[in-house]
Amino acid sequence: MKEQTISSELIRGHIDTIILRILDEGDNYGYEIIKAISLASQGEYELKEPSLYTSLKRLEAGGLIASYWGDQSQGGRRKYYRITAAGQTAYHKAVADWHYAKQLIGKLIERSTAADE
Amino acid sequence: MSNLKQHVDNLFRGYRETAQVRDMKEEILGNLEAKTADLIAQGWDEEDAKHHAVASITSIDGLMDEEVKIAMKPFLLDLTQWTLIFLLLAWIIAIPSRAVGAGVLAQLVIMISLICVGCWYVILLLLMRHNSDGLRLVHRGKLTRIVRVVWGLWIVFLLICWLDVTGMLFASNIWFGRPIEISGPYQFAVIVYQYILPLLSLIVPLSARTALRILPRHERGGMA
Repeated sequence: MKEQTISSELIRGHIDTIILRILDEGDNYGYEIIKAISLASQGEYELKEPSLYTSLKRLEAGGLIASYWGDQSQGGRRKYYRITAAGQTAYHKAVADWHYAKQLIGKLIERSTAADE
Repeated sequence: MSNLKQHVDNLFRGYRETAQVRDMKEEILGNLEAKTADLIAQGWDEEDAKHHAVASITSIDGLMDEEVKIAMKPFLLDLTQWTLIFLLLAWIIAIPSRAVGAGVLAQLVIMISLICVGCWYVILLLLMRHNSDGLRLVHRGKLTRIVRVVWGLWIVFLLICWLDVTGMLFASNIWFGRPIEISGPYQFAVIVYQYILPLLSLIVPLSARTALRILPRHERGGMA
């Protein structure tokens, strides 16, 4: 349980990028996005619905994703999202940023044997 | 799937039905239905699946534009009118209880409240003449939470009242195992009224809820 909250804290800042990644693989709607994220994490991380909607709203307002209604014969309609060109650019930049941050933070928080001496 | 729709409607209570709100409702409902269908496909019981889906989103706080611009004075005027109506109704309902001691007290309290709220209404009307266009930002999520707290406090108040009455009337009967004696219709009425009269305080949470209900009517611009 503790572990789960810590990782949620670390993940929070990257939810937008995670959603962009899912949508980069193809158009999708809310619940399937959550499922895809759960699957990508092998069940270790589950995005909560309120965070999903907040993130989707922010991404759409920023022009990184666009939405359209799918035709659903019965029940509520599904709102699909697709990544825009600006979204793809933002995604690739976020991935590059992540690689850089990962190695930098790694250097800072992991004590290497060399630094000990 | 109708209770899913009901759940979504409840989530958005107090929101004006704008295009944005309609879209959001439909999207959330569509996803809840997809989740329910998926869980059922995994072998869940239909009711359990619905409960689980509903539990995944219990509040939309922070999701919608929380700050709404409202015309403050017309809003207060409207709210005061409703409160007056509730008080009058309570006063009328309390009329038959005048035969009983507690009833006189209840009517007195209602009467004093009526006079106070009435004066406040007149003051508001006078203030309105000077500037009627004062717009104020109201935090909808906060108001919703306040209303919830008021309901909670009212329930606690009611329970305490009832416990108190029960204690006063019957504690010794229970303690000594004596049978309860009601000597006649008047005695019976006295007892019943002591339980019913605290219910009149329902006006307080009702007025609070009214504030939330009439909020959309006084929204001015700002929303798409």
